[in-house]
This record gives sequence, C-alpha cells and structure tokens, in this order.
Amino acid sequence: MRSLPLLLLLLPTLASAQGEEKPITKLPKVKKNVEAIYPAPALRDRVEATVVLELDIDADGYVSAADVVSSSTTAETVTSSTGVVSVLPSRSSTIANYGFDQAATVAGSRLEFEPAEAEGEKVPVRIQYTFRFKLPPLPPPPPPTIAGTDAPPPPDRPKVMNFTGVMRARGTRSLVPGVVVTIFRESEDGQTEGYEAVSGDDGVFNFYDLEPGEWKILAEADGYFPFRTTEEVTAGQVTEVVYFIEKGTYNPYDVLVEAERVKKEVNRRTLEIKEITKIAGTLGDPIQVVENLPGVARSQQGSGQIIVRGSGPNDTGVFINGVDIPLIYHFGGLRSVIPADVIESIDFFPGNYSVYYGRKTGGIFDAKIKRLKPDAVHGSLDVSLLDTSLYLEVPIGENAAIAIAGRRSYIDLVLKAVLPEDGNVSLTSAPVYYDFQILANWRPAPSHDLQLTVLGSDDIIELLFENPASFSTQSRSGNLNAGTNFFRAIAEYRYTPSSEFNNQLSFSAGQDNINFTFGDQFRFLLQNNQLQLRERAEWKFADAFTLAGGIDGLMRIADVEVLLPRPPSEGQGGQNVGNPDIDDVLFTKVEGQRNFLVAPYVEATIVPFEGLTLVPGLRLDYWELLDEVSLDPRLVARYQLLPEWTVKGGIGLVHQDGEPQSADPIFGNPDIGLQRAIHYSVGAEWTPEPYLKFDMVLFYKALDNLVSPTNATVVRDGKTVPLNVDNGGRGTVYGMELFLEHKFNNNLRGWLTYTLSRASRIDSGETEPRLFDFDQTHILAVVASYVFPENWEFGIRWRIVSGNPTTPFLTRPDVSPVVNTDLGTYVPIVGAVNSDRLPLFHQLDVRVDKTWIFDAWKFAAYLSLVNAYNRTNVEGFTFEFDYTRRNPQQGLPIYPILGVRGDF
Amino acid sequence: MRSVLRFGPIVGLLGLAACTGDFTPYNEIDRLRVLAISADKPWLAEGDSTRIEALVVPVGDNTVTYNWSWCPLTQGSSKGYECAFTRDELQQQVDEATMMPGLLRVPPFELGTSSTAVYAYNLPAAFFSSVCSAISMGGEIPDFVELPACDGTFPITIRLTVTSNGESLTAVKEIYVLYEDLPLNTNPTINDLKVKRAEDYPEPTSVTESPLLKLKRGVDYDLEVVVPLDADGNPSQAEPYLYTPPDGSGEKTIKETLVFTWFIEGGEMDRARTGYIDPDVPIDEARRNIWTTPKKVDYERTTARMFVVIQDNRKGTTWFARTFELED
Repeated sequence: MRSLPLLLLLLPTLASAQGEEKPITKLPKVKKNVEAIYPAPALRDRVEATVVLELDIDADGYVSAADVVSSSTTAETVTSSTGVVSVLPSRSSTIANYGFDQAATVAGSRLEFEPAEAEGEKVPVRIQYTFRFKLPPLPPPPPPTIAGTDAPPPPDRPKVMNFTGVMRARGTRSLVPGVVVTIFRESEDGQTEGYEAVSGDDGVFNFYDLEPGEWKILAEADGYFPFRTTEEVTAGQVTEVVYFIEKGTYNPYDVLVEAERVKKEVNRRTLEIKEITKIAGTLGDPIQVVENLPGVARSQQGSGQIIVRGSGPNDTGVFINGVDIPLIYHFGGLRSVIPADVIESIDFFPGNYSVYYGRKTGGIFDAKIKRLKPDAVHGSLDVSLLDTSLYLEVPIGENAAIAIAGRRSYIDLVLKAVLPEDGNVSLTSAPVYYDFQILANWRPAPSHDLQLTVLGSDDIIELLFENPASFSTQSRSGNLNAGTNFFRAIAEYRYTPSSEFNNQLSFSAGQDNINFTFGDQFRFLLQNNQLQLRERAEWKFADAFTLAGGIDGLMRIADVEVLLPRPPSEGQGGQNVGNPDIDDVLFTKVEGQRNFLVAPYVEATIVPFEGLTLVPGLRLDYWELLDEVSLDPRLVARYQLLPEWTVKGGIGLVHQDGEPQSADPIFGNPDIGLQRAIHYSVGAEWTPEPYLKFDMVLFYKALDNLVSPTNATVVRDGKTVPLNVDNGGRGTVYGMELFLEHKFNNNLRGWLTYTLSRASRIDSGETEPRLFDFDQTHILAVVASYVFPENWEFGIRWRIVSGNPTTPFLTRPDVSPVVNTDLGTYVPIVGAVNSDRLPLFHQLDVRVDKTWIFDAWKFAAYLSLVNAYNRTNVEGFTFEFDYTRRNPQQGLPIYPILGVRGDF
Repeated sequence: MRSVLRFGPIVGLLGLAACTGDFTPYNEIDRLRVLAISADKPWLAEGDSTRIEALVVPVGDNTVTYNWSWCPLTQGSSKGYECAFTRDELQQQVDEATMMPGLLRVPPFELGTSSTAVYAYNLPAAFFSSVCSAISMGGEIPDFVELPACDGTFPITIRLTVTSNGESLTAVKEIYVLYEDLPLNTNPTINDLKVKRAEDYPEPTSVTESPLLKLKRGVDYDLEVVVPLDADGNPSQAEPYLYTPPDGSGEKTIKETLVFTWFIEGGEMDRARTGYIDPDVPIDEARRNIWTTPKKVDYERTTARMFVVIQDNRKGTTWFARTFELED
C-alpha cells in the first residue's frame, strides 16, 4: 500500500567549498544513506513535510554539521471511505512540533559521503540536502465492529480480525498507546500492499482480513526507536503478538521537576520521583533530594533533620498524602522510611503554603503515594550495600491494582563486622530497619477513585556495654535498647463528577511506638494512637472563581513514660554538655492523654483579570491539649506579566504548638501557649525557554510566642517548681532564594540553587538576638545529570554551605576549668551562645548508572561515590577531658555505594 | 512528635568519625590535676564535722596552694557551680526570713588555705529543712539558683581552687548534711593493690611504697585492687540503702555501686574506669585491670605513680596511691 515512508533527495546545488579556493571537480556522493524517521504524530495526523538542510561535509565525507535551512508542512487531502473529501486537521501546525526538523537533522548528521574533490584533492564542502517526508497511502478501513482507531469496515460483509497485538515498552512492559503500526508486503504484481493501525490506550492494535503469508511490520511512536519485524499470517487463525518497543532513551527525566499543575503558591517544588532517584549523593532516596532545594539548610550528617527557612526540624510538617507521619528517616538518616517505588511525587513548600496545611511554622513536605495503573504485573528488586528492597504490583481486573513493597537494611551485618568481639560494646540485637508498604487502587467508574495505603516502619537496636563505668561514674547498667516503629493505614476516596467539582475524603489510622531504655536509669516509652480525617471539596463556580473548603482533623491518644535528663532546647547545645549528672533525671507518666486537633478551612482562587491569580484562605484551628483556638488568614498572589514572566507574593499567619514535652508539667509548662509565625515572601519567575527557568524569592519570617527555656520558677500545687519553658521567645528569618533550573533537554538536566539567609532568636528574658542553631548564611547546591547513549547516565551533586553556629567553650588561660570530682568529669564554661561557627562545608557526590533493556525487564547497575574528593567536613568537635583542646568531628569520608536493580 | 523519634546516640555510631587520637586520656596525669576530693564523713548529722582533703597532682615538684570554700546553693554546672549568693547576701536573707537579725549566723564560706579543710555542720538542721520547705511550699526562689534535691539530705558544695606554677584549677564535691534522721553513708576502702605478671611476679604481689616495686617497661601487668569482701564474695563496703526511684515505683533496697578510676603518670591502662554494679557487673570484673607500663621513649622518669580512686554513688570517696620503679 505504501512504497517508502519518505523520499530522499539530494539536491545537486553545491553551496560552497569551505576553505578552499580551488574549483570543485567532483561533487560529494551519498555513500551511506540514512532514513529519517517519520514522526509518529505526523503520521497520525497525516502531515507531510519538506526539510532543507545545510550539511557541512568534511574531507573524509562525514557530516560535521547539519542545520535546517527551511522547512514546510502540508496536511494531506484525502478521500474518506464515505466519499467525502476532507482535509485532515493538523493538531499542531508547526513543523517543529511534529519533529520533522529534528528527524531530518538527526538523519542528515549520520549520512556518509564520498568526499568532494578539487583537482584530485579531497576537500570539505557545504551542500544543501532535502528530506521530503511523504505519507504512505491510507490503509483499507477496518470493520465497523472494532472500536478505537481502526477504520470502519465496508458495509457489505463483516471483516474478520486475524492479526492482533499489544504494544509495550521494552524494559518496563508498560502499555504504549499511539503507536502507528504499519503492516505491508510486496504483492505478486510488484505493488506494495500495506495497512495501518494505531494502538489504543490499552496498547492494542488490530488488523483485518490479512491474506495469509509473510508480512512486514513497522511500529513507530514518538520517543521510541522504530520497531521492525516479520510475521506469518496463517489462514483461519488469529495471529497474536506482543511487541516491545524501546524508548529513545531511558532517562529518568520524562517528567519535569516542576509539575505543570496550575501554580497557586509562591513556592511549591514538586519533585517527580522518576527524576530524582538517580541524583548523586542521595543514595536513590527521594526524600534526601529535598535538601538540595532552595530554603532548605544542610542537616548534620546522619541526623535526618529537615531545616527549612530558619525553622527547627520539628517545625516542618511531614505528610504522606496529607497524613501526618512521625518520622521520615530510619536511624542514621541514610534512608527515608518510604522507598521511591511507592512514591509518585513530593510536594515541598518552604513557606506561604495553602490553608490545607497548618500547625507548622516552618515548611511542608508531602509525599504523594503512587497511583497504580492496572496494566500489567510490575516489580523491582534493588540490592545495594545498604539494604535490599522489593516491589511487586499486580492488576486486579481492569479497574484495580494492588502493590506490596518491603525493605531491610544490612547495618546489623556491617556493625557486627566492625565491632571487635572483645570490645567494650556488644550487640544484643543488631541494629536493623525494615519498612513495608501495601498499596491498592480501585476505580469503579471514571468519577470514583479509591486508594488504600498501608505503610509502616520498624527500627531496632540493642547494645550491651560491657563496662558501664566507662560512660559515667553514675552508670548502673550497660543495656541500651532502642526501637521505634509506626504504621499508617490510609483510605482515600476521590469523587470527580465533573470538571467543576471534586471531592477528596481521606481517613487514616495508625500507631507510633518508641521504646528506649538505658538500664533502669533512662526510659522513653511512647505509644501514640492516631486517627486523622481530611475532607476537601472544590467547586469551580466560574473560570474566575473557585472555592475550596475542608476539614483537617487529627486525634491523638498517647501513653507516655519518660525518665530522662531535661532535654536541651534549641540554643542550649553547649550548656547541655555542662550538665553531666545523669542522675539528675525527671520522670513523667501520662496515660491516655487525648489531644484533639481540628481545623476547618476555606480557600478561594480568584482570577479578577487575565494573568492575576489571588488565593485568599482562612484556617481555624482548635488545640485541645492547649485549650486554644487560632485563626490563620493567608493570601497568595501571582501575576503573569508576560508569557515568560510571573511575579508573586504571599503573606500568611501560622500557629504551632511546642514540642511534645513543652506542655508537660514536669519537663515543660502546662500553661504553655501556641507559637506563631508570619510568613512574607515576594518573588519572580522567568522562563526564557521551555526547559529553562529562573525563580527568585525574597522571604521574611517573623516568629513570636516561641517556646523558650527559662530558669524561672513557679508555684504549682503549692510547690515551687521550675517553670522550664515559657512563650517568651522571638525570632526573625529573612533571606533570598534563587533557583535556576535546566529541565531535561539535550540529554542534560539539573539545577542550581542558592539561599542567602539569616535566622536569629531572642530567648525568653533576653533582649539581644543570637543566631539560630541551624543558621546557614550561604547554601549553594548544583545538581546535574547527563544521559549518554546506550543508557549510560552520569550525575553530580556539589554543595557548598556555611557551617552551623556553635557555642564555644572557654578554657585556659581565659578561665580556670572546673572539675566535678564526684562525677569524674570536667565542666566546660560556655561562651556566648552560637557565637562561633563550624568551617565551611563542601562536598561533591557523583553517580554513574548503566541500564540494560530487555524485552520484559530492565537491569541497572549503579555506583554512587559520596564525598568524591574526600573533603574533611567538620560536623562538630570532640574535646579533651578538660576542654583545653578540641578535634573536629568529621563527616563521612569518601565511600562508594554499589547497587543493582531489576525492574519488570 | 517527630523529633522525639530520633535516635541521637546511634547517629554517633553510624554517621560521624571523631578523631580523638591525640587527646590525653582522662586517667593520664600530665598536667595539674585534682583527681578526687574526699570527706572523711561524706554525710553529716547536725553538729558533725568532716575533714576534707584533696588528691592533687602538680606538674613535677611544683608547690600547690589551696583555697577551700563551701556553698549551700549554687548556680549549677552551666555556671561552673558558682555560689548563688555571697555569705553576706545569704545572711541578709536569713535575717529577713527570721525577722531577728543575728539569730542565725551563717558561717563564713571560706574554709582556709591549707591542704586539708574542715567543714562543720553548725547551722541548725532547721535551716536546711526550711529552705526545702520554702521550695515545696511555693516560696520565691531566684531563677539563678539550682534547686537542691530535698530528700532528707541537703547537698553542700565544697569548692577547692588549687594553684601551681601559675596555673589554677577549681574542683567541686558535694557532701550531704542531713536534716532528717537517716543512716549515714561511709567511705569505701581499699586494702591493697597487687601486681601480677608471669615473668617477674607470677603470684599477685602487693605494691608497697618502700621498697618500690620494680616493673619492666613496655609490658603488661595485671592489676588487682583488694577490697573487703563479704562471705558471698561481694564488696562489703557497697552498702545497701533504701532507694527511691524517680519514677515513683516504690522504695527498694539496693547496693551502692563502686567505681574505680585508675590514674597513671605513664603507660596505658586497659580501662580508665571500672565499676561494680550489683548484680550486673561483679566485683572481680571491677577491681582488675591491665597496665602497659611506659616505654622509655614515652616516659623518661624512672618512677611512675598510680592512683586508684574508688567512689560509691552516694558521695563516698577514697583512694590508694602507689609508686613504681621502672626498669629498662
């Protein structure tokens, strides 16, 4: 039916002979022809094109440069089976959108010629070369009984489908819709007979009434290599095939960093998991990528803290699908509790977030669980030097799917190998972490979508210190047991009856457990049972007005037993070192303590005129334990000045309770109140190219009523007791965030982020500000990945960050040290809080990935080199017994993580 | 919620590498040190006196000057245990509280400049009980005062500042004065220190001050402290006492812990500190150690001193000092 997918013409117009005065005596002649690939969308839309290239051919006949001189397209005029003459519409009228230019340039650059000659000498030349993309004839129409893209059959007799197939992506086996499948053969009379079909959403394509015999198959789709094969059609039988077509590249950046959702926030970074699992230095953990975003400080190695815009780790909310979870990282901070396989994306808001979120004065971090597509059985196995994870996804019918995942660490094996058998410490139960996830999706109808997620995490370590006295003269035991686990079961129902209305309802239940004991001297036992309800409805009354409202309800019932020294507050790190009396402990026990938190909220999206979007919101929070009510008004505005330019700004009030112990009568103050922050930010976005984006934000955060330690005493129940904390703290945070992003283009992707900021606090009873514990003046991160041919990928991450403030210890000769002879230890005399700073941190991480693609699965090997140039970064100091000398507490030296992964 | 679920101690195991190689160990004496302070009566009943002495080791043969004081209320460890009030300030508050100036004389805080000092419990027990009553009854306590534990005992801080060769060092120790009728605690004792090594001392040999025991340089010697044992082989001076756990789980009788700190002038001690903890760590584990005597290249002097300080967990302290002759 069609003879050639395209015609290729060599125009004998010689543009010039480059760098050569002699006359050309022999024109270049094509030695190796390369077919340009007909862009699949153009095939689908029946668009033809002519692309004229200018080729620079070197003296060896190779093409050194190929540039488009001109190009033009024409939509085909056809006669349909009904006899009506029509012009097929072009979905996208520009030639660039169909990819003709690119296809011609790629093919042109691969041509090889017999070199041009001038007086018998081979010379470089520049020529014009035309690719003419000509459509094949339309295939005969398929029978009318077949739905989808196949053409209708003639009315006189039913057609019989005798060839059916499914298009899947090589490696992932995902269904591939929109593949143009051409089946053709040379007939006996020398004519070419051919037919076309396009795979539907289910990847299926069909052909009808094919004559028995051998047929050639050509399958083409955007972003995939052309697929060619031969099939035998047998009379009276249906030929069933599954074709695996290979992506042009299996780069992870098919999805852009910033989701193309309509932006309503001043700052929302949406990280798509596919793009971030291979970032160097993060060990494939998507959560760790957040640290490389603007406004996020570097946390101390292994601490697993998230510090956003000068707020403490406890001030940033961590959610999964909007549900509060108790911890992000397993111990050691190397791995998050949720593997990348089950996450779809991560929304991160450094400030000025929607009223959907609350109770946190810092940032918001919300991981979105993957929504399963019931197309095939998928799975993966990832084995690294750190842990092994397994993921399996199974469709259940056409509308449902279920997935399970799990992970286990090897830290126990490493520590067993590292710790000497005759050492001072032995492992009663080696440290190990587990996590598991169960996912299920059911879409009984297009407007109804149910999702169930169950996830949990378990960390445990038990140590026995053989010589407890080596810790302290007061040690009475060497048994250290530490375990933490939690689970959440989340049920979500999304109802979307129309584009004007949608409703999301989620209910979750879960439990958190902590079990920490050190002999009978220290104890922290917690069991927290938690129920959370979230309801959000959104009505679009008009294009210019959308109203959303909902409820964020949370109920916690906790049993807590604590026997510990008073924990240091922010800004008290140095002073804590000075209290070595481990018998100076406090005890509190609470059973069935209920804390009911509920917050109705309403938010509007108003577009008063084109380009301007206003999002005012109001959130009312009730805090049962503190017996308080707070009202948080917030406003965000975005204005698109030009197509490439958007300015934005926001102001919002947020409230937050203190850390759990702050309201305890023993460790804290039962009369403690809410903390408050006002977020201000203004900024601009510039998108000069679709793949290039600049984003700058200036922010200011005013903090007051902060829970702050105090030495004051108070009379409670007729007894003078320490007040411990009050709401006398204040603080300010201000700075600038810069984000330069190069989205995936020309095989390169990456971003540069720079944050300049200052965070300070004024403690209760003080008048002078001091630096915040995590104040980092300069934070610069460069993240880049380049995808090479043959599915090689190379990535780097380089960071340079100001050191954290520290509180110095005063020693000889300035002050005389003090030794507590009862405790057998020296007591440091502390200087001004956070008046010193750790040295500058900088580190390069690199990662290399190689992926092998097979029909039904992919296999990848990766090598991650953390701290590639072995920088000695200082995370703190250790001191000689009398604090006269100190040594740097170094971060991890260079270390490799090698892993392999299979996906099917 | 989230912050309390972290495992800070484990971070240290996994994440950070601290370089402590060139630090002098706590138990190695290479500078002016106050290794211990002992009161012959660590607990005092009203009217008692206690003699206080310090185990001070200067550098070389430098002389040491002493300055002793006591303090009933301090500002806590973060302020170096500085006294919360001067004696005159405290006297003024006492006078105001009693409304009869001079009725109760607060003794001077200074305890002299001799190498030993004597603290006399000559304030009435009612003074301390009234301070505790003030706390428990909601009296106003300045915020710079560290609240004392009031459980029938009241901690008195003994403060010593020593100066030698222009260098000074401050040391503190608590003794308890009782304002309720409680049994007194006594100091532990050490009877002997023995050395054993197959080549030169195949049997445990007592270390005497005269003549000095001769030890080879750069070799390991087993050390054994001899303490009084009861019929069950447990240290008889680990006194049983009534312990009230802070978690309110009810009083119980437990034995004192005994901690041995092994100070040396040269060489390396296998464990700087050992402890007897009933019933987890037996006394035989706590009273033994291994000393690698110093090599000449590291320690040129021909004699080396060792101090074994033994402390119970109720302020009882004593020590045992011996000198060894080192042979090449």
